[in-house]
Amino acid sequence: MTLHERIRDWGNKGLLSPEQQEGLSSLVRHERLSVFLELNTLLYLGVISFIGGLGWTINTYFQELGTVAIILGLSAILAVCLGYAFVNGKPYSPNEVQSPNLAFDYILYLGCLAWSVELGYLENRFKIAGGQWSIYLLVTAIVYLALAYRFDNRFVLSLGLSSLAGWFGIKSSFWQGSSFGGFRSMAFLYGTLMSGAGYGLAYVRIKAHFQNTYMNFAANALFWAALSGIFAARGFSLWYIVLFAISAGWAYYGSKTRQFIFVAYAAIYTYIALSTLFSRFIHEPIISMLYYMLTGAGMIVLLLILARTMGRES
Amino acid sequence: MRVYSDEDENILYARSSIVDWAASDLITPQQKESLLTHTPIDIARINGFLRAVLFFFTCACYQSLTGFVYVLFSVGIGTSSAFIMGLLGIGAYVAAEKLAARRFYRHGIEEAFAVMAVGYTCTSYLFFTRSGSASSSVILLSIGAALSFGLYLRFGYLYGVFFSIVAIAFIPIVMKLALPTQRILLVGGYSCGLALVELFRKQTSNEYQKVELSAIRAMLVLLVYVCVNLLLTSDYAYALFESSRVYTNPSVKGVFYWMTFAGTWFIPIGTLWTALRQKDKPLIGVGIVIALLTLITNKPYLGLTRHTWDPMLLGAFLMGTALFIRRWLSQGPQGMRHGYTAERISAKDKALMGALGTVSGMLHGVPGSSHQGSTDPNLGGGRSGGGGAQSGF
Repeated sequence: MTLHERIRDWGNKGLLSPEQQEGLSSLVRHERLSVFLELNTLLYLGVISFIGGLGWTINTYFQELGTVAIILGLSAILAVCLGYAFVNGKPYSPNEVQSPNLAFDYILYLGCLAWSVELGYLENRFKIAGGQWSIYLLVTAIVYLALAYRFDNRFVLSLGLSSLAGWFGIKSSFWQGSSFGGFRSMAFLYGTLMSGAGYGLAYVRIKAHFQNTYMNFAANALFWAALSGIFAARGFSLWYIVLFAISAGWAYYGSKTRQFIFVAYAAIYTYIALSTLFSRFIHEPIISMLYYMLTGAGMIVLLLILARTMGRES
Repeated sequence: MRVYSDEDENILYARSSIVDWAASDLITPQQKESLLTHTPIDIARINGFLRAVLFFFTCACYQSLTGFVYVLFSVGIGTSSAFIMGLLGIGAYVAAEKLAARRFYRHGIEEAFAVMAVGYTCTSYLFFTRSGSASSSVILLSIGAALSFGLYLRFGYLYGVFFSIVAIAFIPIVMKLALPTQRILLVGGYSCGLALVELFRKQTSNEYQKVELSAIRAMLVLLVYVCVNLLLTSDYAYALFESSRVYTNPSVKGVFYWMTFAGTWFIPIGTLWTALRQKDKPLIGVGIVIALLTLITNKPYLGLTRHTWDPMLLGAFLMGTALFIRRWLSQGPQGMRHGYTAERISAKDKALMGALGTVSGMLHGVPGSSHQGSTDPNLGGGRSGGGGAQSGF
């Protein structure tokens, strides 16, 4: 039986109202097709391409263009985008607010990216903050987060959280440097604060739909911090306990909220930690193979039980 | 042929539609439960993330078993190794069949076994021949393509079709045929595939099959385009990375070259035209992707100098196009024209945009990371701000 036939059958049995039957039938027959996703993708790619080209042009022609033209141009983009957002944006609400139109979110996003380019140019050109990029990152993070909450924009929220991560010192350059311990403590602090903020703001019902974004940033920061501790230490260390505790926490959170990505994080990071520990003590190839075989099978059974217990249609 | 019956697939398609309708507020949660009880099935589906994790662990587990067997019996490269790989390939396939028979459906585990069965069989052949000759490579690719396609026929894995058509694409390359011959053969072959898919699409009344065949058609169109656009998959691709230099080899810019250039314009236009007429979402997506690739490769194709502001123009064009289409559609009766609307209908679209929003910050990288310590008087900086405009200023 095709879906169209089923809809008719459900309608006849009174499971669907005539309006619903008609609406769903038209969807199934593709009489009404949404291009929402395609238009959003075009807008997102358009913004990214525009900003990429802008940065490249300034980088290549900053001498020919001149400082005034660059600053005026970037400021104009910023002013137009923010002006548009404040004029056309809906009033603030702690609940989810739908964008007034399709372009709104991307115009705000474009403005935020232009702000980043301008700030970067100003500091590189005039050294206003004396090379203290952390100041810019903090200011940028605050501005982005404020705009994200004001206009309910997940793209800008994500930018704000990554800027804040930068301010906390989670930077790739730290991996190459000597401040490994510093990286870990800052990452822990960031991860803990983000998970607390995500949970807390959702609890008090301020943009509760942002919680997932916070939690994704927090989980990755915490897991990487613990894993870096494991890699840095020799033999068994306290970091294993820390990572197992973090895994247990996220697995619980993921299963409670039915967000399997966190269960997947917990499973993979725990497996990496256990395998690292094992490989430090056992160097016999045959035992190693046996270990990976058995633990792999164990993980499969465990995850299957979890999936079947929680039983969810994807 | 298919391990899951048409009725199974139709019910699963109906159930996933019901879940989406409920998430999109087209039906109430009570109606959802009621409709789901009217479409009973003994197959459970699992979450996509869990599926990926289970796929990974199954591969890790089985490959460890392979390593264990090799270490235990001290197997070297040769006929014995080919024999063991063949046996393990058969074992993996049997495991996939058994799990599918026990109503495992897109659980990652049975998929991993099926995929490994193909991989192990190909490796077995490789160990058996131990030859790098063109003929043995052609046979290897043919085996891989046939078995991968078999995965689709038996289990319905669309990525099996993708692996298959990609493997086929390498056959003329390893045969070291001349570039025009390679491309003509591939485009001809894929076009025959397209004609067959179109034939099956018209014949079938199953919605799930229509969806699968649409996806296969989109893959074939993408591969045809990739074969035609010489700047994507040939020695001329380097022209893309040279902003000022252009490819000047006279042997390149013959009739064939300019025919492929015309093809890079005709294929996206034809694809979008067909996709919009048939309201085929996968084809619309591929049409947009290949149209973008044409715009990106157009200047290097023509040998024109590219400018740093080209991406800006492209970005403005994309944004302008999206806004124009939205405005045009929304001005139609009930916000719709020719059956298209810019309004969101499915909850999946919202979830996808939410996911893109979440990862977009991560995609731009950790901001400001390369600014520290930058003392270059030429303003040789790096990324700036959360936006991560990666500039050197």
